[in-house]
Amino acid sequence: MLRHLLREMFLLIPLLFFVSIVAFFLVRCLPVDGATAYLNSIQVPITQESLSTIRKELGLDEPVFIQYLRWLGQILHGNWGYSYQTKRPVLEELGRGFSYTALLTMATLLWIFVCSSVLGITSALHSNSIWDHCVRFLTSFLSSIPKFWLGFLLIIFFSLKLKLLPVQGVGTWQHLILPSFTLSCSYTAIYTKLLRTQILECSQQPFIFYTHTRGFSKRHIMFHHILPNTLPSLLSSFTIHCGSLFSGSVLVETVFGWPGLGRMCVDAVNARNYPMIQGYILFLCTLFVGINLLSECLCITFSPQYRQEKLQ
Amino acid sequence: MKKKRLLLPLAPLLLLLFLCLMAPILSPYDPNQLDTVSKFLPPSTLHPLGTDYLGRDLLSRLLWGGRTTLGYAAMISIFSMAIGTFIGIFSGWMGGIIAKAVIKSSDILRSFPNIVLVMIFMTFWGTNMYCLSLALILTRWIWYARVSSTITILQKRRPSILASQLVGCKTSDLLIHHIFPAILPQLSSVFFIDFGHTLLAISGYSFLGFGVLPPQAEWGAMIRDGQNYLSHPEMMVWSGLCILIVVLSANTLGDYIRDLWEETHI
Repeated sequence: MLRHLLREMFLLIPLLFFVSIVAFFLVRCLPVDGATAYLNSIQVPITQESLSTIRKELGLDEPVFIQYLRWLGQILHGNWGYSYQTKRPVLEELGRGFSYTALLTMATLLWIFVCSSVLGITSALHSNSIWDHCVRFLTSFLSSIPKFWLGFLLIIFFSLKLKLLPVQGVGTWQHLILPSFTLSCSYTAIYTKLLRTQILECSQQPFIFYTHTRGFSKRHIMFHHILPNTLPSLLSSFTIHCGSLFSGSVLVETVFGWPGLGRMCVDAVNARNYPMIQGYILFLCTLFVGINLLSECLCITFSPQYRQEKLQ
Repeated sequence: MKKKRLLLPLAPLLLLLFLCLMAPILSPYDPNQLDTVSKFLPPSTLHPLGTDYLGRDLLSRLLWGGRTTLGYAAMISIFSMAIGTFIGIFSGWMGGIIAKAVIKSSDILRSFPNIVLVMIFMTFWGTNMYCLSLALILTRWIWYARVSSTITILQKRRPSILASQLVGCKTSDLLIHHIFPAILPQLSSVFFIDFGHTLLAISGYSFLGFGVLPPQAEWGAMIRDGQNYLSHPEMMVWSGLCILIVVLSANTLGDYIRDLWEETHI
């Protein structure tokens, strides 16, 4: 297993490396030269002389390759520069944003888990009934609705009309309900559909027929024989959606004024806050690689077929 | 016949497409014409859907916005389909390490958060529709490549293809007349589903302010305009509803085409 994970990492590291080069050149290739920007920020008059001394001091006169290595060293030491807007370290800001986004994601995962397991199992148990058709319509509806629009509709209905929940911002657990529900909708649709087809497919298998003949209760068969067999495909589809879960949260965070990573990045792009943009790109890609490796571990642990297929 | 079922999602899609194409004739006002006296008017005979916070006619903006949204979504999907299919057929036909590379890279890239690419482009060239389109095409083609590559590999082993090779059929003819038609049903299913996703992405990025520039009408941008006036929900209801209808019908159409294909072939 360790060897397999190392091989996976071997494929993902080049991606990370490539992204770091892009992120480096992102700031290097700006219309404003680094030395001029630095002189402006410490309010020293720009002359030919001061420019050349600053270039030497910042190492801008060295070859690009050396500069890249030095920059990479700084990144690895946790020195990600300072945000233009708040003048605070980028890594600290990103960490704060990430804690909020992670909270939102956890709540979303809870919604997805509860809603899709209830809808998926009930619709598979009563397949081709009216309930099943309702669920099928609901899932195609939920997967097509624009998240940001749904968010506003929920705000208008639950917060402005009924005055049940807070409109925007963070604070209590009630602030978490609407954003996480909005974010969970499209994923609930996907997993409900997947769970339903997987359960129906698995029920056709001979070993399920055998458990019926042995006289087990329907509930026992569902929870001990069918559901564990649907787990691998659900997990592997989950790995695909992890990345989009983080980028999808941008829309929801903007709608609900949630101070997470996504809104931070939108603000940074609009304010041309380059260190933050650079940091966000690096952070998200590292997260992406981490999640991919983690899900690979989970798939190997939970799915014997996958393990056999991959480890040989 | 099951084919009649296709009409159900196709009808609203074609209707909205037709209405938006006819926007220059149908829309009662110029979509960007300001009228500060008549802000937030309720629906009336003069303004069938009312007016927005600058007194612009909502129906005209909806129709013209649909041209932008649907046009860009169609363009992006068609471009990614062309690129993806070409690369997919090529890699599938070559087989070996090239096909493996396409499938492995699509495995990695399909979960890659595409907002990263959008942000990189926006930083280099500023916010505009061309950057957004390019970023979306660069992440979307991989789906088509994956589908067409997988099917090409399967088709390649069929006796009929081997026979045409024996007869001395040119490779280009073989690819165009034998392999491509076999991919087409699956590809059109993927196309419609991808069209829906692209439309959601375009309107989403426009909502964030990463897409069209302010005076231009676009469905996502119209929702953005409405977000500061939540007490007047009619500013965002219609455009959101249009997005929902188009994406819902496109997804359903894609699903139906796939079902139809599976019924006839399996």
